[in-house]
Amino acid sequence: MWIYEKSLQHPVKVTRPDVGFAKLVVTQYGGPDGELGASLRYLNQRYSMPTNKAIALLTDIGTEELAHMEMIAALVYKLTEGASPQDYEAAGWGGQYVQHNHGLFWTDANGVPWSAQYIACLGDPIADLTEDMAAEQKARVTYEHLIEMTNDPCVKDMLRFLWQREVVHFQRFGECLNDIQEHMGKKNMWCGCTIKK
Amino acid sequence: MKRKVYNPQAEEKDEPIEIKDQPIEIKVERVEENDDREELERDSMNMWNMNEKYNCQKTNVKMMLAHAYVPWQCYDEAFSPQEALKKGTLFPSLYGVYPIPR
Repeated sequence: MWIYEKSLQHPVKVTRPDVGFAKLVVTQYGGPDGELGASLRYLNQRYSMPTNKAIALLTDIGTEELAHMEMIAALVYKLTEGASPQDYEAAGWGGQYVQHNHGLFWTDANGVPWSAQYIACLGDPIADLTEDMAAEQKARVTYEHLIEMTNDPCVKDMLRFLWQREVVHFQRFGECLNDIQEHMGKKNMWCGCTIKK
Repeated sequence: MKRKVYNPQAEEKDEPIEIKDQPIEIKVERVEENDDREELERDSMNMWNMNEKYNCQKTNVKMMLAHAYVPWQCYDEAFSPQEALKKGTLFPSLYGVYPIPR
């Protein structure tokens, strides 16, 4: 169950609409290292974690990634606000207008739709947490690339916030991995579920 | 004052022990909001920060080959809530560990 907060986690402001940049930043909505994939990955992997602490961490971060997806959605929407079909065409995103008008869709910067192939769940906590750490690094670098691709200071500011969150999440997943490795080294062999005797 | 503390023995039993009458002081230094120049200085100072203060007690665990580890973070200082919400982290020690994209 979730408690819903009506405000965004961080304000989303744009200086001016920029359909060209919307086409690029949509990758953090539905691209391989985007927020949809991140949230689903963590909220799914949580079930096969051996400690309550790890489950809680994945639930927390997965929830936050949903809030980030909301921020990216607001950003794409604002960047395309009032844009005409010709504006989309000029930005090389005419296909988006034809299929979705001003609606959003989960694709990467090249229009490739989101796929469950972007995420994994092995049911092994060390493998899954290592994947999560890699995912945070990939998302961090994607934000760095995106920040290079825009001149809008408001957009840079908001993307920098999301970038910093990736760094924080990496630290938390790393600490969780420390814990899990210690836990498993001690006494526990994890089979993905508690075996009933 | 009751406070849950980390206790390796407690962890084995999977239940935290509550210690009474043993108040634990956590000193939290507040880093007040800087002006832009100071902020940039801090950023360059923290860049690729390999700070020795992260040798937490907890970090000295036995490490195994072919396993990945991240140093434990110590809670020693904090940004003001306003600045933390702006920056994306409460912790100065986590701010600028990777070069901040501009």
